[in-house]
Amino acid sequence: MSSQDDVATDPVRSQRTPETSTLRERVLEWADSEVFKGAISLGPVLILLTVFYAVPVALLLIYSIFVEDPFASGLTFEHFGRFVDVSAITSLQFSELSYVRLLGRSIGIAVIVTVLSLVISYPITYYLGQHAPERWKIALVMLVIIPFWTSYLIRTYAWIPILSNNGFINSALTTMGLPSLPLLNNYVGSIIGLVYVFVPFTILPLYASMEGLDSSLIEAARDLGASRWEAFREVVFPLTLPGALAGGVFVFIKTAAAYVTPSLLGGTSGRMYAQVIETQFGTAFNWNFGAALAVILVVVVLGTIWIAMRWGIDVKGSRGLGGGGL
Amino acid sequence: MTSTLHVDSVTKDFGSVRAVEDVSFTVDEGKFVTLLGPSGCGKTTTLRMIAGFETPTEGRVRLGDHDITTEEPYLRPTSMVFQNYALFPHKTVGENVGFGLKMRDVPPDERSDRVAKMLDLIELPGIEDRGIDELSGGQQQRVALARALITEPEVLLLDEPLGALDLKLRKNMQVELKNLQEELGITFVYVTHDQEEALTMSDEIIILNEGEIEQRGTPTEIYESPRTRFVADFIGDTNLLDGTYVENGGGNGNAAAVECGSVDVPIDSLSAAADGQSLSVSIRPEKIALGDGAGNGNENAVTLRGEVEDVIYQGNVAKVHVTIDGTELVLEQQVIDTVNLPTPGSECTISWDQENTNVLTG
Amino acid sequence: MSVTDSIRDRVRSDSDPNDGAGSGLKLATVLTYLFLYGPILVVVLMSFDAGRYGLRWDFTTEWYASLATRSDLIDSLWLSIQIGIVVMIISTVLAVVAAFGLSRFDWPKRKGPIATYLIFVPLTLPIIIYGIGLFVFFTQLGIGRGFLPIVVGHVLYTLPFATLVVGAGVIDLDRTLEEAAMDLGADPLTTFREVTLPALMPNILAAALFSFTLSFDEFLISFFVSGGGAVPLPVRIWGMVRADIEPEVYAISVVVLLISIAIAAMATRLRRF
Repeated sequence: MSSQDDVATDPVRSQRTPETSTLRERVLEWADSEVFKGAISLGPVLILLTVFYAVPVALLLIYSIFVEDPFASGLTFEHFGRFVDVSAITSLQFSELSYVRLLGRSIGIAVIVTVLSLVISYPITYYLGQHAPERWKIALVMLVIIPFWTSYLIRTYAWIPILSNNGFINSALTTMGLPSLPLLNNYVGSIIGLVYVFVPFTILPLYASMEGLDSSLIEAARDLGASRWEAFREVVFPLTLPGALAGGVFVFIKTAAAYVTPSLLGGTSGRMYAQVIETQFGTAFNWNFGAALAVILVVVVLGTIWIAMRWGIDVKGSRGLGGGGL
Repeated sequence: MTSTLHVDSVTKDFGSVRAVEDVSFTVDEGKFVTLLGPSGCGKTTTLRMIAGFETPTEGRVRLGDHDITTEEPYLRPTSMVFQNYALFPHKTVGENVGFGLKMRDVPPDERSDRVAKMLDLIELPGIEDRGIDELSGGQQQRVALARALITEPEVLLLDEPLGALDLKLRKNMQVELKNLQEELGITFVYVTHDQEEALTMSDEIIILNEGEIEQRGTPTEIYESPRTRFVADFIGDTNLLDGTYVENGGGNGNAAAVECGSVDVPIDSLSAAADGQSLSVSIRPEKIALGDGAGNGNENAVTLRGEVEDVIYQGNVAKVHVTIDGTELVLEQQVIDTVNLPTPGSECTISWDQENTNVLTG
Repeated sequence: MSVTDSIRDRVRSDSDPNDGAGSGLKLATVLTYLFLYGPILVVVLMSFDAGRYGLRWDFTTEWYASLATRSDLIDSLWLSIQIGIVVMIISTVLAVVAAFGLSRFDWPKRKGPIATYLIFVPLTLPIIIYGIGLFVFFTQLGIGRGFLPIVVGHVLYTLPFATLVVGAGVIDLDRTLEEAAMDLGADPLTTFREVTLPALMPNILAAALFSFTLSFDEFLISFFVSGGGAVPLPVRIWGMVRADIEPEVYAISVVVLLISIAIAAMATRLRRF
């Protein structure tokens, strides 16, 4: 006990006598500082993230700006040039901008999927957050979460026997004497599959908003003469929109980069951008061009997040619910 | 070994906010001292500096001759009872109470004996194996107390420990806590914002406001002789009158008076006050009587005439609001017979002993 | 007709004013659950169907019987479980460390958020980009495809989720519990062992289970970095689906679904929602 007063890490003492503090004292004081503790506890994780995440992703950026092998060949922008196809632009043959069009289609599908996910999410979350009987609530919410954590690959191809020409839906339609619908191997298939896989990303943040909504606000609106729909439009919707948008941004960026679902359900007309990236590495063996296409996708994703944050959408608000990513 | 607790000129800054400013006090061994003040007054921060959860920006904390300013909390001979009890939810009552002994490597046999004794002391014998969530709020409170006391700390620190209990239970616990403290003879430093709690239990009260000590004294001193406007206002109900000091004021041959609008309140001459200086006085409602009763043969009586404005019946007492040329005073009257309550609008005389006029210097 | 009359009419026109939820809302909720579970049910039905697609359904268990003979599938299942366990252990330990680092220390003003963002970047960038990057990275290192690259990829993929789950617990943790332990004589290490860790256990277990399922079900990263004999089950299933000639795919899928649903159910139970 008697040595307690001599503890060199004592910040008050060290502060008071800066001129007499030895190197050892200063090192110990620094070791006691919050930054150091933070660095120790985050250090291993940050190093891991740098070496095994940042470096691999940065490698793609490096590949995208070299003709062939990085640092062994010349720097070039030809891969990005190939993406925008300068000759097609100068000759005004915009229909030949195949990569740009593919990216455009992916973004278009992403918008549709995001809107559909939000439309589907509102009723169920409104019910779960505001009306579900208390004793069933936990079970019902768990039922929403569980598919989220199961293989998206299996959940995606499960749609093949439902959507195919001789699948459940079309068999049912033909039995009723109706014409069958082309649902699989086109963009309809992609959209259905993507909504299915990503709808939990909007359901869960929206549920959190609905759950947190003070129900007396709805009662007050009803008391003042609002119908159910008016109460929803005037009170519930504006107050839960932030949660919905956070989830929506997530669905958008996940969909824009989707690979598995369009590959299994999309066919040619549902083909999406990420698939041509894979082709460059899988079969075309043009890593440099593939890397350039990947960099463009990253720019689109980061740009979306940046714009969303500029608009005041709390993108991080939806992150805790992640999982089953594609 | 005496273990008087010394808090010497302690200041605590959180960033640019000063929570505690130059607070000094001592607590003699075996005393029950309460730090009383509104929320944000720095009382909890002061307590946490004694416990070792905060390090003072300036100043020292000593226990006897031992400087504990920067000693780790787990090495200090202090124990704390937390506001939310902070009972370990994953441990049983017995494990909670015995935790401090386990940390001191007391062998299991002795530990369980002492836990049993401690549970007897708090009148909850034999509940060692219960879970924390099986206890009522009052029982949790006692278990938290037992856990803090079992290590026989030199100082027990209590941070609003009764705050979560309902009124009736709180009143019972106040008495029990005080009895326990007297029985054990341990120094208690108690933090609360509840003035009644402070008045009931404390040997001494330290009133804090905005990080500084306003007044220190026994409950009687604090209540009967508040020295500052803040203390008079914070403790109990009172009539606060702001005015100016006048030497030989108010006629009537008084030594001095404080002129408060339409009312002159006679006081003793103050050597520290100059003519025309702003001063406030406080007179407790229960010290004022209807009629000139207080002046019954007492030449120190202050007698005023006014009009009854309002009478508010509160059961055992009634609050009578009286205006004297526009200045309102409230007096409290025991209700013995509702028929005898004054009627609003009637003329009346009120009086109090000049000794009960408190001149507030701060 | 007065205003109040019209309001009264409107209120009355709602089917049941005392019942909070309209029947339309309930119907939409039921349909959403159908949407969420229909395809899963289809996989189960198909796994017992002797025919293919269509409305005709002939019960059979032959696909499950033939699973036992598919040593390639059993090897892949076993590999996926092994990878899942290794990833679970590494990820959970790192998540506990990172969660404390992120939420417990007073970071200088700007560095805190930056550290937080760094940990969560893997959540926002497309997984396919990471999978390809990792493939290029390990190819450049001369390691190529296999067990190690898969484990590395999965650890980085699961870590943000695990950190979030543990971090939520650290933030919710009542700090006065730790103060109480210290006050009663427990040094920081003992406090961590006796109070902090047990109080965080539900979150830590949930993080471990989530890490396992995420790794067990992960496909895209494995798709790019698996090979050389190390083919996890999702990659094997992908091959079966693309080939479209192996009906056992539904049976093995049911096995996968059962494992992940069971673990996810346990994990969501542990986490307090």
